[in-house]
Amino acid sequence: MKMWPKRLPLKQGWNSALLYFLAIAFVATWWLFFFSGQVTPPLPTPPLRAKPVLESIVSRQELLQALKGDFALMGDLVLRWDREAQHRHLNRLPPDKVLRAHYLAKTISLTPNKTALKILPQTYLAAGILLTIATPTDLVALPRGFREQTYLFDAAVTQQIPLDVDHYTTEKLFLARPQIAFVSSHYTHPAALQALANQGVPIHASPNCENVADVLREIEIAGRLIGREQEGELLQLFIEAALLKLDQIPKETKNTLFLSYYDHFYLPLESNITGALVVRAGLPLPKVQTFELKEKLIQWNPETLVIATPRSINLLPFLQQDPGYSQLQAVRKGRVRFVDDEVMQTPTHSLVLAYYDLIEALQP
Amino acid sequence: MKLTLGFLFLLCTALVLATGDTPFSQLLQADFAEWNPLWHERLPRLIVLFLTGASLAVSGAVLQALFQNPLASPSILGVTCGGCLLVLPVFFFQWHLNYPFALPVAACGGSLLTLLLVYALARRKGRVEMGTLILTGIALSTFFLAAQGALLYALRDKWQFVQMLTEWEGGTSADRSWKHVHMQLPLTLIALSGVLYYRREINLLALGEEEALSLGVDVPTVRWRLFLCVSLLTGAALAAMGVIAFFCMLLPHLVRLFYGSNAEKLLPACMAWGALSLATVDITLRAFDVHLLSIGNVSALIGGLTFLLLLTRKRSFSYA
Repeated sequence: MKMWPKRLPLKQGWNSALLYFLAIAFVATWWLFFFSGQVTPPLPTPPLRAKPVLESIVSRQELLQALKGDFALMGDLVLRWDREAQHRHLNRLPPDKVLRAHYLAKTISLTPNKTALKILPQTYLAAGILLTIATPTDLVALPRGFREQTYLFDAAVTQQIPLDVDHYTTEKLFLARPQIAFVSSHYTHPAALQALANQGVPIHASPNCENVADVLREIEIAGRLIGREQEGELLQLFIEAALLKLDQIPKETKNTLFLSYYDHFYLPLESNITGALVVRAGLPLPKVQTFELKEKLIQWNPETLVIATPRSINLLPFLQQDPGYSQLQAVRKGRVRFVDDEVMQTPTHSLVLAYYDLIEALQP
Repeated sequence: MKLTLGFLFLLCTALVLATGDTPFSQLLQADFAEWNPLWHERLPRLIVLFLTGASLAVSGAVLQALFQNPLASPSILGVTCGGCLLVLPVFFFQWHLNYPFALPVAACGGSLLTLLLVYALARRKGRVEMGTLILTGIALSTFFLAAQGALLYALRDKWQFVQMLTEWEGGTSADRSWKHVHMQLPLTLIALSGVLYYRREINLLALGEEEALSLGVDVPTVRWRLFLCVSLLTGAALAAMGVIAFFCMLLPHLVRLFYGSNAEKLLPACMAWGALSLATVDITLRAFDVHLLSIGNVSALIGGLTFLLLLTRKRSFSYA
């Protein structure tokens, strides 16, 4: 028996072709009718632009520069913000901390050449902190994917580090002779830990970082372990001062909701840094399963929506076309603000930038 | 029986439409004039559940008849895995965001290619040995799963993508909307019409291809069209709800115990019970607020356990 349909006589062949044509035409017409309005060119999310109000108070560019490891700028900013807080009678860092930051900035600039350790950061948190408080050439490798996140450290910095941490680079890492490895007690593969232990590399395993205090603690530990206590301490003080400064900027949080989007909406967890920043900004963090989020969202009907989304996704047309989301006050009034998901979700000391973007999105 | 089925359908419909955060009393209020959870959330979910349940059960029944094997089903033959593999790039490049029909096109294409490949590889000297067929299906499934695993491994840093794919592969009814209905409905309508149109031939093919040929069935043409229908049903269900494993194998088998193997009765019964079963699983998960498991997980667990039970009891586990 033949496996495939035999060649049909001409008339029967035409009938068969007509049958397939009609079926395809039916489906194509259906989809064209119902989906044609939804087809939008894939545009990137509009880039964030600092509002004049916020930019005049805190410059994002300066924050970025400081977080990259400009310790003199860190010291200057801490002092400047303290003066402004005194002048306006706002909450400020304790004076001893301000003086300490000033002292550290001066000291660090006077002793630029320090003995370098060869460091292996296996987590994004460690890599971010170490790139700031140490020099890039001290690092023997970066966690896989870290180079792609260029919002903080551009390619010129990361290119100085030759390797990526991977299962396949164990021997290369061994040849690089790291003197200390920063791993995660939470998710580093046991085999990778064993390999490092077998190579005689001292290991620091950091627990899961769930809030700002956890990050500050890790900065302190990293600084101590690599002999850059002063840099670590200054970075800690700078982050504290920057968050305090951002806390004092007036923002509109009434009936505002923060959401993340990737294929569907979800709310950040309380037990991660994004959730901690959202709460710090004075926004609610309802505990709702993704399962039932849409109905809840329509019920809440927020006046402002702040959405963390990858830049490749253009969400606004979708919100405006969806019969449910288009009813939200936030969408109707054009009060949907987008923040870069990459900045918001990366658990490093760049949480200052994430918080800045969040506060910017909350400007009236 | 028809009355019971009608009652169960009404009950299921009422329960799905009544389950949600918005109290039913509020649904008809003016606030919801434009967006109504009943119309925009629960009704599309109900339709997708019914369509998917019916599609999977019918596709399993058709394959079991075509191959005269109670083990034949899209998931066992690797059809689901083939569909999944082609869906992966659609998700990765986010084509589905701008072109929702890319999902069913990829899923149906992958399903059809796999089905043809399984059939071609399992065929020896004009005959398809049942053992060879199942083994070919399992081998291709393994290969596709490995390919998918390799891609996911390569993309493991894209955690959002991996998370999204995990949710989709779990098989879920969360966030289903009219978009999913429109993705699935035209394909399902055509495929179900095709399957029902060939119900007499399915009965004859269940006796064996040689017998069907001698009884006047144009076997290659009918078989090709039924393959197309099964691919459309499986692919559309895959695109709308994700992977629902075991359902398409077990349900036709259970329905056959009560309705017999006559496709005239079996296919409509599979449609009805498939739709009802999937909706019931969804209602149960929602009623008990179970968020840790998806419909796909539950159906696979129930399916696997029931299948084992049937095997251990050895109760009439054959196609006839």
